[in-house]
Amino acid sequence: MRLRSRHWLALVAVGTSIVVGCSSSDSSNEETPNGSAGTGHGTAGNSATAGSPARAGAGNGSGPNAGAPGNHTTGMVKLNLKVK
Amino acid sequence: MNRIANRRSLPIARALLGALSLASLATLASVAGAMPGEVSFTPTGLKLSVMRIVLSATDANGNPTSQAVLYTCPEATEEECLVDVTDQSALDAIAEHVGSAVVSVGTYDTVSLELCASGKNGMTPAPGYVRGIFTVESEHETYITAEGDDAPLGIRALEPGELSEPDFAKIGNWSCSTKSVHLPSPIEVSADVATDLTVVVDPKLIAFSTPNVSGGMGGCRGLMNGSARGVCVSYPSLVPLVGEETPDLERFLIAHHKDDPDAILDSKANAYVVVVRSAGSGDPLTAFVRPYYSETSAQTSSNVPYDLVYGGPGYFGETLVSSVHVTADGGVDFTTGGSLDGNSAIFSDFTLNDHKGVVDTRTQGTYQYHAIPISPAGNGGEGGSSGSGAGGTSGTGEGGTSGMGEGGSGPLPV
Repeated sequence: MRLRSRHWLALVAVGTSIVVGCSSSDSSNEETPNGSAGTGHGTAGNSATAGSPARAGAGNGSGPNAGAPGNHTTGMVKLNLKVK
Repeated sequence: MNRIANRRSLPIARALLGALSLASLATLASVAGAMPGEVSFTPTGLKLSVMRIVLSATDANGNPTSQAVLYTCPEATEEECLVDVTDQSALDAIAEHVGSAVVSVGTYDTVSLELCASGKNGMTPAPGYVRGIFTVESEHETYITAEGDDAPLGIRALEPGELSEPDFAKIGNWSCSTKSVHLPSPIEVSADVATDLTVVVDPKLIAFSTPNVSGGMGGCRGLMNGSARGVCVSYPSLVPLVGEETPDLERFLIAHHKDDPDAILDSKANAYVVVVRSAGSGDPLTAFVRPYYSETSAQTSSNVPYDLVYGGPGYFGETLVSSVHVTADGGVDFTTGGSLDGNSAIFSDFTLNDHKGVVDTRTQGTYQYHAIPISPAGNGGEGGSSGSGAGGTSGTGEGGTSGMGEGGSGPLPV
């Protein structure tokens, strides 16, 4: 049951991404912070139509904006240089 | 053990091959051997072009699987990107420029410093400048680095009573390269968290001068036929560590005897070993080595020919970080060189004090050694004017050139 709910939520999220023109595929696997903006590898529309879980692969979306926000895929490195 | 060494040597060998000038420098510098008039010294200035500093994740073969650029010089040319790596304020300026670099989350294990813009290989000259002063006891001369008609090879002897300061002189035969160093433990970059990475530069004893420097040697400025005194410079050691605290560096000179520890002559020391430990005299983290030259040093087996009795193993190449382990008595065991470096030094228990022990090699058997602590102050080649050797516990008194004969019971003032 919980699993289904999660899938449903995923679909909603995907559907939302259609609205905003998001072309990102599976945001959970994204490695760049702002998705692959406008690269056309999105799947959202097809996923939603098929009712399948939000997985990448099929679509050819062409959204102009960056992909799904909120992915915590970056950190920071503070560099210290010392001569001894 | 051998399998590990072999596996880990691959990325190191690759890094060295990629950094052609570094490889040639290390080899050729070793061939120079030890002889009268030859001294190592610590530069008071060393300007290198720092074009990029890159953090990488690598696979088992040392190939990068992902990279994050921490620093890119804001200028276009190598000459404009020169940094005096002996000047803490210059290093601070880079760190300030970097601030907190945004990188993808993940685990990284290698830090690289690129001397040149991308696309330039080891055949492309790179700018580099060294500044320093050293004394050659056998000649009763003190030399300074300089440029001008009176210093065609980047050095000149001071006149009696002259107090001139050294100037920066161009390093000879210095080419584009990338210095890549593995972290003793990888750095984990987490989401939205700032992680400190400290890179320590050790320029001690990285320059040397001989009466027969060939301008054909990597990092060396001299006549091509090797008939005059010149100066050679090695790449400074870099030690990247996770955290913001500056580690402690425990430095030693190493003297050897083939089989009798009581017959070791400290004046024949020909190697430099540094053990890096966490701040506050904490646990050992890693170690590195390089050759050391004085007028009395024995020729190490990284030279041809070498001193079969006092020469000891070869001290060149990188330490295999994966081989560094803390021993039960607080020392470290570590392996240097690649799998093909049959004579490179392998320590099984290098303790952080004045001590004697046995150093192994892959193919040339064992040697007895004496690890002689070096005090942090002073400059190579400038101490130990006459080898007073007044019974110092550091085992000095064997002639004392290059800062080795000041008597005393403390560490050697190199």
